[in-house]
Amino acid sequence: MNAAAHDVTVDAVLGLRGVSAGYDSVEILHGLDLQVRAGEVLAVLGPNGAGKSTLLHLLAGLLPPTAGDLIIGGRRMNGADPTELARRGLCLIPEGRGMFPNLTVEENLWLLTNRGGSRSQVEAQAYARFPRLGERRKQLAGSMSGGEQQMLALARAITTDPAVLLLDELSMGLAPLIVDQLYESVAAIAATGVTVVVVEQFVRSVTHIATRGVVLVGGRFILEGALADLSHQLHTAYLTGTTDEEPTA
Amino acid sequence: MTDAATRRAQEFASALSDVPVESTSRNFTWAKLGLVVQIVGVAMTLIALVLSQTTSNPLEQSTCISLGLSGLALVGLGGALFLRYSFGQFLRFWLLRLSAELQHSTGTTAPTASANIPRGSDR
Repeated sequence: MNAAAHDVTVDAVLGLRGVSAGYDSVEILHGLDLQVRAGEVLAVLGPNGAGKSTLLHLLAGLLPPTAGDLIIGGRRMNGADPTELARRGLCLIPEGRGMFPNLTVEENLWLLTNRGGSRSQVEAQAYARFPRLGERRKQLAGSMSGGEQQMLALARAITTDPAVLLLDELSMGLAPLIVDQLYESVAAIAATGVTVVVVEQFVRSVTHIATRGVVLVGGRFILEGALADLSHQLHTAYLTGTTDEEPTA
Repeated sequence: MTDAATRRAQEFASALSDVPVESTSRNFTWAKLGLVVQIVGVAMTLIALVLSQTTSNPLEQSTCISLGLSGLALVGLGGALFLRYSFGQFLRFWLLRLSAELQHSTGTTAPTASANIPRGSDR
């Protein structure tokens, strides 16, 4: 079953059409179809090893598809340079927070001025959203707490003014309260019209912000729909790789 | 879909219109061109050397000197192109590696990027 199977329409900001991808000869994603519309917050849920991070790398252009079409901004973009995609507003926050631990908060933000904003503008934007970062501006990023590091990673998303934001397991290793705070920031970013794709293992983290969800198991989408509906079927899907409607034998 | 979302999506689509697809990296192309220019330069210099040995005519030797100097200039130009575009790639990789090593030594999680997606990592 391919729950998300449909044609990719022109108003899809991101889309996959029969896409397979993997590393060397190992295929991880098998014939995926997906479309993410402008302004949508899509949650990609799945157990460990399902291919969630690979999917995000694919959407960010870091991993070329071995088959099918990767659609970005309504255009087939197989093989596009990920640097060019990032420059034009496709922002990936990878698992592991994607900041430089050996640089201070200020220096990390300084690196974000390469898109044209001044240092003071970037810092003002970041500190307005995350005052905690302002308090830690002289501190090495690697010595901050996990939540603060994730705030710094999200500050990148705010200051580079992305059109599409790809988030890989924002909640990993963080307390539920911190996760809720971070997702409030994500919701605020999404409210400005940014299209968001968020990868998570647990549906609870994204219940309040995602408008739709897909469940990825074994490199295939097996469920798609509203998160409230998906949450009841996740247990079966994660354990068996099938949905409640399908016989598991 | 909100107006803001539609506007952003349109701006994004228009910004992507000039992004080349299915192509090799521009850096790689320039680095390759630099290598070719170097080889041509060396060949020209060698040809000039051989030609200059076969004549005692000062005019022909002047031509050989010009040819040899042009070859050397091409070697310099090709070398500069090659270093510029191959080192850019190398230094980015080196920076990522340094960052990952530092993170590893401080016990924090390493960031992922195109250059360091480990095989067999969490997918």
